[in-house]
Amino acid sequence: MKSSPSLLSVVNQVLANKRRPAVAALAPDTRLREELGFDSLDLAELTVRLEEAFGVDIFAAGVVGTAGEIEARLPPERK
Amino acid sequence: MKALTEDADCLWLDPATGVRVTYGELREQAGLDELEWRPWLCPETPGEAVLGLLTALLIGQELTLVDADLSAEEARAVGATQERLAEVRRVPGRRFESAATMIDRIREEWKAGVAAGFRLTLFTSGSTGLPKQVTHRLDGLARMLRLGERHREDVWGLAYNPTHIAGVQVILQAFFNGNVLVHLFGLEPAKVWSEVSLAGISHLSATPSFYRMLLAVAEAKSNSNEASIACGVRAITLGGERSDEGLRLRLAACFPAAKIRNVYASTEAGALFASEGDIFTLSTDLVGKVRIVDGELQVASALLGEFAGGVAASTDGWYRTGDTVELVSNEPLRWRIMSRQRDWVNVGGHKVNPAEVEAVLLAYPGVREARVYGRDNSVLGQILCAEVVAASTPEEVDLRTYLAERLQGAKVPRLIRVVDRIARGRTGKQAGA
Repeated sequence: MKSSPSLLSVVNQVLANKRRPAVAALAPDTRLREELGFDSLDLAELTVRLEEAFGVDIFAAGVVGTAGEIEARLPPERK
Repeated sequence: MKALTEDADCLWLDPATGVRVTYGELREQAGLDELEWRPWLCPETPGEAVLGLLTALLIGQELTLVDADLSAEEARAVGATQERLAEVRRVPGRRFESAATMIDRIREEWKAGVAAGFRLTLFTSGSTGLPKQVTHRLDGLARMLRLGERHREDVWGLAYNPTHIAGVQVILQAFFNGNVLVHLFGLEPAKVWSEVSLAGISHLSATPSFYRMLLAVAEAKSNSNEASIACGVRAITLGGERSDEGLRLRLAACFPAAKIRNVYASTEAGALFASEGDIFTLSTDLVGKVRIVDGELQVASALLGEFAGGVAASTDGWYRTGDTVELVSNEPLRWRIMSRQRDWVNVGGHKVNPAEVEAVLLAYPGVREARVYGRDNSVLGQILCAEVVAASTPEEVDLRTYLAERLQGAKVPRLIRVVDRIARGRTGKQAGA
């Protein structure tokens, strides 16, 4: 994947690796566990991939449950 | 304070399903004239594992607990065939007058060394790549239990997989004291946190990864002025992975009334040691049965369970645990654990042997080389990663699917890279692991 990463693209990569359909968009209140069916292993994978893309450990400062909470922890200069 | 366990006392509580089982119900089930007994059990729910284990103990039967998490291939390899899992024997039950006499009787038989018939077989991952089968008697499993008057009112959270050695410890600890056991394994961290208060849990035993998840919830609540400490918890036990001082301090802040200790148990040897702080010592009955050679912890073979197929644990009477320790003193023997099972990756308390995963990767068409390693992760402690060199360029998702069909979930690397060559001479573990 050469296009610049976004939370959406990383989430879809985690879903694709489980052969699950991609989501078109993430709302700030989209819940990763309940709505996207992420388990602990999926969340761990998401943190590693986001860390590679953005250099930030989203779980380092406590638990995150929604897409909005993750966005808030990613660096602002990305796009 | 109640004097004795009563039939109406709750033994098992599952907040996820609302299932509640009393000591009386367990007693009645064991007391039937004849039981339909499944010697091989692959429990669909934790409750099924708890009741199966305790019933085996009460009626003196052998039980093999198979983790539902095993892939079809692994299950076949350990002999958990459909026929075995479907086998039902008709066996005689055993009557007890009351819940209190039921517990007393089993405890007396255990102390007298006559816990007849009961054997528990569990599986561990072996270095050959196949899960190893280990059979324990009650004394190996119950070595570290804390019994007595002051444990009567304990309420235990079961945060371990009940088909693993650590889960079995918690189940037996609760049973022998007539305690309530509350299902927490596999629940969402936020749900675990609320159940700790709702169910009045006083004792927790879990991996450092589990506590990190729980602390993240509690610490997030402290920012929003919600209840962020749990004063009802009196004891916190850590096991399965190396803990650290930072985690201990965070636990002490969140559970101010709790005594924090570490335990050491392995599928091969059962329960062995406990530590206050990070220094482990031996109970008097184990003196001379544990030694440290070249920084490795070794355990006398006599302490081990029976390995299936006559697999020799060692040739010289000492079993090499593969755990790296730092000697603190010789007399008495005291040590710190530096890393458990060197080279193994601990994915959320689930120990994965990289060599086993590499072997499966190498069987994928076109893959020439594979390296599997752990990487630190704030969710699970460590996460499994892999690099492969392949003739073609396989898609990550295809490799993942291939592995998922052959291995348990925790053994499937979550980050797989196709590279031109694998750098040799690297330790495998990333900084800090």
